[in-house]
Amino acid sequence: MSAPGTPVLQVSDLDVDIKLRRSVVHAVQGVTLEVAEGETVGIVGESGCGKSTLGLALAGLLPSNTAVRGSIRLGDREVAGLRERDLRRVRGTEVGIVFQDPMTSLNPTQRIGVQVGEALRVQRGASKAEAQAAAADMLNLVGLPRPNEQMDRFPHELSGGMRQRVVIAAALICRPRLLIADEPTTALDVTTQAQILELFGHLRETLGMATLLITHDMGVVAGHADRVFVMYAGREAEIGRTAEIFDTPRHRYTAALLDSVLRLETPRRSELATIPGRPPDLTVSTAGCPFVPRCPAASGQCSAELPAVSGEGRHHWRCYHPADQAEGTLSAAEAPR
Amino acid sequence: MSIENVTTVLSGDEPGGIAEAEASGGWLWLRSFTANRLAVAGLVVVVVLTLFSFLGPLFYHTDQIHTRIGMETLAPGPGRPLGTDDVGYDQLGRLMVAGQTTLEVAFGAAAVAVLVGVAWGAVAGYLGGFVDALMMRIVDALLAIPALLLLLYLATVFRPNVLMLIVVVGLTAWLVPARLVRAEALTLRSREYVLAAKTMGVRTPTLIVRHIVTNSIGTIVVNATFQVADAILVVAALSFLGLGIAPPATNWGAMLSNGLNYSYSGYWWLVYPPGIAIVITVVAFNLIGDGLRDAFGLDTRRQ
Amino acid sequence: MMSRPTSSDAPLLSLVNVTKHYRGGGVLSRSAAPVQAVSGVSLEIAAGTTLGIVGESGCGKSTLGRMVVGLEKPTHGEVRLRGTALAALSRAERRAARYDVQMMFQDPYAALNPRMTLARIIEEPLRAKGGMSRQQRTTLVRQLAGETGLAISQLDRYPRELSGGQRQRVGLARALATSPALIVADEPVSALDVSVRSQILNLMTALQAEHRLSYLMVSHDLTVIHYLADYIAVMYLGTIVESGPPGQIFRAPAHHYTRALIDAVPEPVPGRPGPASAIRGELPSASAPPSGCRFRTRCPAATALCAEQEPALRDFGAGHRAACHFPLAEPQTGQVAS
Repeated sequence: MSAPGTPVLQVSDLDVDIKLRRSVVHAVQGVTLEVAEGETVGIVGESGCGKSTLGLALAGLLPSNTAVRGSIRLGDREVAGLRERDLRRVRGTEVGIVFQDPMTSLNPTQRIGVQVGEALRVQRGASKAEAQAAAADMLNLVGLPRPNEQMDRFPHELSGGMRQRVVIAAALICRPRLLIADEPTTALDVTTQAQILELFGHLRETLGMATLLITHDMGVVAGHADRVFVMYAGREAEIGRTAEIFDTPRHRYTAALLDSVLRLETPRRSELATIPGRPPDLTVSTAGCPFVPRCPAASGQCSAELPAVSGEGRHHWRCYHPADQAEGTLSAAEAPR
Repeated sequence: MSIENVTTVLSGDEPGGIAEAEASGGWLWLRSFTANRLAVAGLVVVVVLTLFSFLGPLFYHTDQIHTRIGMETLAPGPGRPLGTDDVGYDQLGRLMVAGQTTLEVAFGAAAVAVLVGVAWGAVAGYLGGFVDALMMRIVDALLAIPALLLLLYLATVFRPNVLMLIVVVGLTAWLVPARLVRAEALTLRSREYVLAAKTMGVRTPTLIVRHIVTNSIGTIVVNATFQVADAILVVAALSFLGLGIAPPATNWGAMLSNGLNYSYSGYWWLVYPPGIAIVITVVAFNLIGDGLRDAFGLDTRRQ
Repeated sequence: MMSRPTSSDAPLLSLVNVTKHYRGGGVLSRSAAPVQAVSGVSLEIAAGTTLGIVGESGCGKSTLGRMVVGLEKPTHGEVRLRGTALAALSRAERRAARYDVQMMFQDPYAALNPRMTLARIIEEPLRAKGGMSRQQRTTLVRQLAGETGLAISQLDRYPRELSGGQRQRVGLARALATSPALIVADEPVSALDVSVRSQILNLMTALQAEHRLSYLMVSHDLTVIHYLADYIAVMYLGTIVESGPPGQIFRAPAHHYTRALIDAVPEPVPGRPGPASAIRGELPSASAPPSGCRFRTRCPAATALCAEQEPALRDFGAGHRAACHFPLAEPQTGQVAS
């Protein structure tokens, strides 16, 4: 057990490279992040920003053609660079993982009661009966109606929403301190999504675990994350409390992204804000800020050198010309920390 | 993102970032193929043997029509690198001529099998329903007939020549590509680009060729190479059983069959050259087929 | 922007009591109950307007889209183009009618043939239609590319080299090729990144104004439907539960399902997870829909009446209709019930 007050997860300067046949993809570059006990941190970004790779790295599930540099600490234990054997132990007990597609996350040939209890048997040596009982409890906790009956069902007999609940139950059976959820509701209907997100909140209150919510949906993090980490081109763009990020975004990408999100309040048929251009090619390393080609405020300094982290309180960003809270215009230069 | 999607993400299906496909256009598979040494070796072997069979006689003249009594079963020596066979033909020259027939029949039969099979399978798979069921039951029924017995029967009834052999062998071999392409067609027919073509009123035959067949080309080509290898073996088997093309035409299988009569007499040059030729050709085509299968990524990823 | 056209012409497209049932089970299945994908849907689209159909999985909206485009035929009811039922046309006439209604697909990665260049993809409907020389086709393709924001130089590329947003542009160009009057857009932006979504939506709006296009927009995403549609229909388990102008529907929804859908949308406003989801349970099977009102098994306001009698669509004023025995608003006046 680590000392109280130690963050559940501490990532320092994490790099993940993916080796392809002829090139190397710098999927994650220099990411630093902390998750406190019981906290929900949302990791947002668009496709290709590296958030899923980051999630896999933290879950210890990267394929063999990757190289990881930097540190990942779970509690007071370093897990980056651990061997598969040790990682396996960590994965079931200290970190729970929920993926996007509940159809492929469950074994179609095993009853769900067995699958939910599996981690307990393998990691904690529980007996079959103990595991069954714990599984039934867990299924009840995740809101599966009539859990004792459902235990003997197979995954295909359940709907998408129910299956995702089963996946969540299986991930949490060993009461891990951290739950990593990679797009957990993207494949679900919006009403089911609302139910599952509600469930995450309820579980957080009951079990007290920290959650890393990886998603592209700004609406999801707005309502369910304590802090938000915005990623762009493998790097950290901005991090802060949810209210800070949404009300006073500082990094130009965050501001542009929030501008372009479609809301119910968006006037119908109006000209929508967009971000011109495309995300950069991650096989090419750049010296400066990766958002330069698409940024309305980019200057020579931005291309020359990656901005250092600047910020106030727990709100940090890497931008030489951050957006002003009121009008989104250039503010006076923020002195880097 | 599940583990399967990891490979997709990391191999370039995400926009604007990770670009695995450095080759533009449709030639990525070629790069993949040429990087596979065994596959290239197979291709080289096939090319060499083809040149040997078809161009060889231009440089190495021998009489393959008239037998020469008094020159039978001579061991290899000056002027006859592989000796002579039991009716006096020069063995090396014979190997070339036999190679021509073997390869012609093999390529021809494979072409027939692929053309008929692809057409059958694509139509069945695309149309689905009753038509598909009917067409595939026909395939199943034909598959139940042992091809070799059928060929033996046909060979005894007709006097085989090269063209006939091509047609007959091809028509027993089309069943496998039909099944393969039908499976592809079943998957592809619900792809959105196929639906799009339907909504724009593309006529069915055009649609099948342009959208279904072109997107099954990987499977088809791989199977075609295996068809060639199989055809060689079938023709060899037929000739082995004495039912091949009438002399003076010959093929490697016939040479082998003939030579085995003399295996106890120690005339190794009648047995090994055709035997080795068959084996290395079949292996070479198999290597090419495997290489193509890897290059098109057919085992692990779907298009 | 109502569904009732002011001229005396028939609306561009109308669905009259359209039903689509699929045969359930296999040959040997004992309970071969048909899957009722769409049941008794009636809708109209006027020229130059957008009809948005919103609903979750299994509601039948995609099937509806496919019937409009001609990929499926209704089991009962009619699809009428400019007043004439499609089923009444001869084969040749139907083929000609096809070019008036085209489709834009959801998945940019599956909507384009990976083995064709962009030019060929956009050209394909023109080739199928016939009547143009190669030169004319090439010119038109270039024009379409320009209109949809594609560079001419990209026309020789293959889909794999493009991003999702660019591929959707190609899909749009292709749909526009035969100058259709109506484009059915099935989840056109759902698979795209947020910032790219706005690019495509801007493009669609611009093209609509330019070409006087109508859209039948099918989506599960309320924000997109609200943004683009002139008239909305909410579907649940094959039937329309509510329809009307977007302002009305979103401000004062009459049906409980619509209310639940609106509540469930995660708004990008911090700290507001929205009211606790009022609907419970799971979507019933489409081969065994609940008796009476199909939504009753999940509705917080359901009573015995809802199980006995299927509610009819009632008028709530100004084109707003809903099918509910206990709606959230007063019928005929559109005022919210206390």
